[in-house]
Amino acid sequence: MRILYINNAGGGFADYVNVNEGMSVEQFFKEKMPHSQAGDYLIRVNRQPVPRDYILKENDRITITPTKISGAA
Amino acid sequence: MLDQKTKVRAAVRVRDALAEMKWQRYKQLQARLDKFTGQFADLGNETKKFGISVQRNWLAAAKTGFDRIFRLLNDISYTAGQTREMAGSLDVNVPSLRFITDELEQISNDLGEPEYDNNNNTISVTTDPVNLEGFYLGPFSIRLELDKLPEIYNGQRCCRIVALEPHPAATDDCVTHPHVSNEQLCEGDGTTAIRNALENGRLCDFFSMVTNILNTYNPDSPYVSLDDWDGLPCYDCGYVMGEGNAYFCQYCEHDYCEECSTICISCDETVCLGCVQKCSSCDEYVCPHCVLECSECGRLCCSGCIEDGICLECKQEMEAQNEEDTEEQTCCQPAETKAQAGTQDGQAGPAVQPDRLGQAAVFQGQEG
Repeated sequence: MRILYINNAGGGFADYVNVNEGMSVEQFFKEKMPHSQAGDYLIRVNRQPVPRDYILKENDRITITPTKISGAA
Repeated sequence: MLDQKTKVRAAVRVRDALAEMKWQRYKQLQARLDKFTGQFADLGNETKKFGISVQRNWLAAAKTGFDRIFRLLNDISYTAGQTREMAGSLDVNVPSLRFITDELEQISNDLGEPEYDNNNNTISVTTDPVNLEGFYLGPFSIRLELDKLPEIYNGQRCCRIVALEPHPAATDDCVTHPHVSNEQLCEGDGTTAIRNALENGRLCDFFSMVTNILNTYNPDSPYVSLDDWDGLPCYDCGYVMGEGNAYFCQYCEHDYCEECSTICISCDETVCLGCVQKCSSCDEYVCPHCVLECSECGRLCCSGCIEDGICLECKQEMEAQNEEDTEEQTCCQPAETKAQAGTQDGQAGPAVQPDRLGQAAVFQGQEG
């Protein structure tokens, strides 16, 4: 099934991606961000905070935003 | 809280700004394509010249032509990549009013109530007080200036970061946060993601990321490091020192570091190197209050090197002069005076023969 994935870590591009039916948010995060900790990110589905075992549905919009972003001078 | 009417008005202004942004992006793409086709035209010209050089066996000219063609091929490849990337990112629709009002609603839920200023056409979000590694910097107002959104492709900034309880760096009042100078944030690692969020109208993502940058300290690239945040800057060299390590000069009333200040040899008071004098005799530092002027030569000295208003050097000169004068007087006195001076004194002087020495008395009748 297709969902909209907005990754604000790095490029911040929004892409439609295909995921398996019954995939949870936690599983999706581990697949897309295998070397990261979920606690370092703000994760929203359809603009709402969701539990880690939330099951993604068709056309859901998932946004992952890092809580620590380094500025510069 | 934004009432529904204000929310819709703000959403309309955002949508208009995003539409203008897309228009500006088309213009940027047009400029890139013009450059691209110009480079192709140059390549065509160079190719013709190169062909003539090769046909006529002009090796030097052929080499020069080849070098130009090689550079053009690199430039074209670079421009093509950039143009393609820009064209690809233009596939973005201006979001609907519903989408934008949903974004404003999400800002309320995640970050606190946004404010819309109709006169200045800005949407603002106020952060919680920022505290970085123990340094309290206060809350900040993140102000998105919608009129400037389309100009970001011309290098303009569309967001101001206003410190509501400024605690700027000691060395620069304009730096209210390690990554904010003159109300401009340097987005660093968030630059691309923030621009994408704005182009897509994802206002909540934009404000979230800016807030997260304000709450993150990057010690590798601040305008002013937190290590130098507090304290006093030396008025002379600018070195930032802890308040307990500062030296106050009472003459110019500024604070100085240890290197730029000294102590008066006479009164032990602190004085900066700009106000202090040096004793002409002993080379020690003297404050303006303790310095004395020699009445003979006018040189400045400390109290230890002046007696009765005269510096030691002048005194030595005067004493030497006195001795010379005394010696001269002694050498110029006459001889009689000397002799008299000698008998009168009871000292042996040159022998003085009595009168008629060697003469005998001759009496009458004693002749012959």
